[in-house]
Amino acid sequence: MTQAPTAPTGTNGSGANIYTYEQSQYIDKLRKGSYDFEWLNDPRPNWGIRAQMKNPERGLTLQDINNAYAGVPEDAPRYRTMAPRGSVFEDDVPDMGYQYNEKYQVWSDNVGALYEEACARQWSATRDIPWDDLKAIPDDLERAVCQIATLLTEVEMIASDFPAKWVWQMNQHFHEVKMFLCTQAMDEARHLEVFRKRALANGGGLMRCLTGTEMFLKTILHAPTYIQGSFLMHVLGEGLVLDIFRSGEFLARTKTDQEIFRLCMQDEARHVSYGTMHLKYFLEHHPEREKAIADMHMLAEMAEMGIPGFLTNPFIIEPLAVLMGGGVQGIDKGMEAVRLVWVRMREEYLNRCELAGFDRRSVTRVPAEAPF
Amino acid sequence: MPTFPSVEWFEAVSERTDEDREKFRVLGYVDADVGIKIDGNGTGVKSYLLRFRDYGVESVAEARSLDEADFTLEGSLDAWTEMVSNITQNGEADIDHSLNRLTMAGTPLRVVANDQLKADIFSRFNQSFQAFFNEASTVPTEFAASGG
Repeated sequence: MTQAPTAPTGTNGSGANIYTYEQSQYIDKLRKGSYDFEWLNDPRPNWGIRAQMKNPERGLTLQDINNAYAGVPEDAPRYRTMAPRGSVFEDDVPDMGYQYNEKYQVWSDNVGALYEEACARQWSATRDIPWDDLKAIPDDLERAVCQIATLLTEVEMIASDFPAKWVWQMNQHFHEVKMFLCTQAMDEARHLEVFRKRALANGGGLMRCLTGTEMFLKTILHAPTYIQGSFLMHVLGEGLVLDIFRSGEFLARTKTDQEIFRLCMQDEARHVSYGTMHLKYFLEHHPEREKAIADMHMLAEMAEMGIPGFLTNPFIIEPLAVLMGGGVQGIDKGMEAVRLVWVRMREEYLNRCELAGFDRRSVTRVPAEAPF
Repeated sequence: MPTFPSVEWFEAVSERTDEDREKFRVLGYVDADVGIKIDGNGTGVKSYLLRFRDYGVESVAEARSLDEADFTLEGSLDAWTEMVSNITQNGEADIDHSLNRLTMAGTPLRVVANDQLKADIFSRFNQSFQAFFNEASTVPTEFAASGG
């Protein structure tokens, strides 16, 4: 034990008191060689926790530690604090101002597993894409790739901005959700990166962005509640983009493009999985379930028009058709595949809603087949 | 030399995957039960259940039912044979023979699942599934005759 510094107790160099009463008392104790040790002797902590790796191949997962201690979040935690779930904290911790303090507002039962999956499957747009395999392709195909890459550069960052807007408003009691949304923000930053790089790496360039697309993005970004935005983005928007990614892999003319789309597809499918299971949890646990379902139907009624909007946009479907047809001369053949994409996007969206206990199939106005 | 398709063949690919474990570790773990259904076009239908765990395949079994599968990859023996042949010839699937490419339009292969989230597992771990089949390039393979 050593003597405390020689600054006068309770003052700084100018003589002003910078310490609280409690701090001054503690400093006095320290100077006498006395320690507090309340943290060491506190009988409250659930001491002796030893989380076990279920699978050493993977390491110590969130599920492992949740199995060991404080693994089940409360439905409505009393405090709005950053203190970790299961820790000891004081009654007068400040209210962080969280808006989402009930589990049903943010939770999905697969979110912990999806977080681990996201961490395990991160990749680098700089290092993990075989950029050396990029080769010159005919101008119409390069333009088509670049138009799609421009669209994706434009739209992907919404799925970083959106979680960034809401994460701080979620009670930290539900840390798994916040952590997963952070992985999503990183995923989408990488998607912006990889598509911007692709547009600018092979003799093409960034192409057209449309007001209609921006309007849809604005609707997501400014959705008044998390569930509304999550439905628009995770279930509807990312569901559509997941199909674009699958289509992109399908249409790729180079290993480079194929790998880009394949890796993005993996990321996007995780986000869609969270969104679908969150919608399910939200609807199953909402205190006014019928009203919640009715509200979601009102939102979906309008938002679903994004599907035909997306698939009657010449800046989206014509590049896809050109890629599918192997060039402008094959666009008619390529449109056959676009019609298939229409059916698939609608069907998969309706399937996901159904899985969430949200029947849109019987009421949707989205035509079952493309009108062209 | 194992014959495609057979339990022995899938196990041989799985062994190669184990030998290449570090590569699969970098791709990320997989938790998925994948059904493989191969229509021999008159010579019968063969079904296999591959249990992907961690960085490889934990078990391979011929299966009467694929109800336990998260999703099933289905197609004719001809289509499967072409995919595997392409992999053995090129060292990996070329851009026209990736799993996603072959299944996207529902032909010549297709992804079948009981619900959409299980179907989406195909997308979530796609790189690992592709890497698994690419390991077939190192397995000397004899192909079963198609009834077609």
